[in-house]
Amino acid sequence: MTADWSPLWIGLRVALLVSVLALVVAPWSAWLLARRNWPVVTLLARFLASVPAVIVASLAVPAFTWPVAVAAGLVRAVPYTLLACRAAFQCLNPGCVKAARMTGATDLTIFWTLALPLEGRAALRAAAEVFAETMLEVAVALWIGGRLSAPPAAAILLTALAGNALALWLGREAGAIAERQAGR
Amino acid sequence: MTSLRVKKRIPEAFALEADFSFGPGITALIGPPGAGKTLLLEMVAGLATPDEGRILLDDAILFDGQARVNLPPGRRGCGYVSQSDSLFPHRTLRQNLEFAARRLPRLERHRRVAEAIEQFAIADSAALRPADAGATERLRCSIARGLIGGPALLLADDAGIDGALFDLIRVHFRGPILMAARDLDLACTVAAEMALIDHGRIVQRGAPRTVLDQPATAEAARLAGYENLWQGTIATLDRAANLSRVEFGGFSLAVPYLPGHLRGDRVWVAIRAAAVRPRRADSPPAPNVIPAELVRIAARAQSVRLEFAGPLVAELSLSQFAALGDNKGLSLELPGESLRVIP
Repeated sequence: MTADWSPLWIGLRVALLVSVLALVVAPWSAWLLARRNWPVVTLLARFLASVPAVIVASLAVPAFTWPVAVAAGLVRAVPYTLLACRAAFQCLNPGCVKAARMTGATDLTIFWTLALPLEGRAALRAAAEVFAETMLEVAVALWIGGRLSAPPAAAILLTALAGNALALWLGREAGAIAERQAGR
Repeated sequence: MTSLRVKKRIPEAFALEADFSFGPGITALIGPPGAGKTLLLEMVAGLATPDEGRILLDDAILFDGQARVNLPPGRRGCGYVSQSDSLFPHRTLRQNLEFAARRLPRLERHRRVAEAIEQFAIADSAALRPADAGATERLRCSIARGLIGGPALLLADDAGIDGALFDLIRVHFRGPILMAARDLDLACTVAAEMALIDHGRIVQRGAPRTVLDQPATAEAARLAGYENLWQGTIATLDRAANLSRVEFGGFSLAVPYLPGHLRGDRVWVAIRAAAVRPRRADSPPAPNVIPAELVRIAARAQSVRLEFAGPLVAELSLSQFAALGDNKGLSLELPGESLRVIP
């Protein structure tokens, strides 16, 4: 009997879309939020980032299709990536930001020329984590629906592990780059 | 002429209040860490917003709280050299300069960058990233970046610029410079005017020599480097002998006649550590000699610092210290001409 690999393709499609969309939306929002203290927004983002939204959606939405999974994944992925990026942007050397402002740089210019090149790896790392977690969430949702056999489940697990490994590598690289730039 | 009249309240710290003007040449803001020097510079630069007031650079209004004018940093015509290393770490020194000049037309940008690299002698490091360049080259590049846009005013925030580098800056920039510093010697060497600042208030300002020699308040004396400062009571006023005597807890000092004072007035008396003369027990008698108990001897590169109970501090050259012998039974002479009486 041939295994049904469609859960793997659904998981990949959903996880990739969620990661890419989170990567597009979150960093700029994080940059705008980095210098503001809005405790309610932070609390809400932390709450959403901790909810397994895809699993919840699979239980709550009768017609659970892959676009629904993407939408649900974004509910968790965007705040998660946003918080990770905001924390990274807050570590930017304020002297560099001030120096950029003195040359007339706008928020957008500083974001492109300073924040992303220096701290962009935090966004990539968060996206890799989002990818891994979304893959697992999709797998659990499909398993609850009785649509997951062992071979695709194993493949999904391996893909998620690969995503996590990528996230770890990006984290280590970011640390090494920061040390090199600081001249240590 | 740059004029400042600003107020800003810093929660749980102090309220910064400054009202002063400065012209061409270098003006040094001197104060301890946390006195408000950086904040004042940032308000001029547009990096911090005053609660109220007005900042004028020549005829241009940079900030006016009432009229709600607040020019952004890039349009204020100020160059800024910050306290910390603020070069972009992912770009080379040349690219840092190019970023600062990016709004200029292409040819002009190339000319200015090449000029700045030559003027500040950073050609050898221009292709290096800041982490790979030396500290001197990084500082020179920061200054070049601050000047590359052709500012009308340069703000230097305790950036570690020494006298020689200030001389180099003056060759290429003739406009006013407002510098924040802690080094009195540097301020005295390079500045035309000095303002002492503490807890957000300008305590005294004027020509460096005047500020250093004639502190107007006890606070100013402390900031101007007078380590020995006591409050006492005027016991005698003798106009004919041009003499006053000020009593302290356990000793009294003779100082010149103090016009405008009455007996019983409280005054501060200050003397620099370098002006205090420790004497051996067998020295001939002299006025203003007080007994002192030596607590600690601290050797420095070019001098020796003696700390006495009181507290009282004396700083001697190495040869003066050697002449003191075994340091036993010392007394201290506080020469009248070195004493500063502060109302």
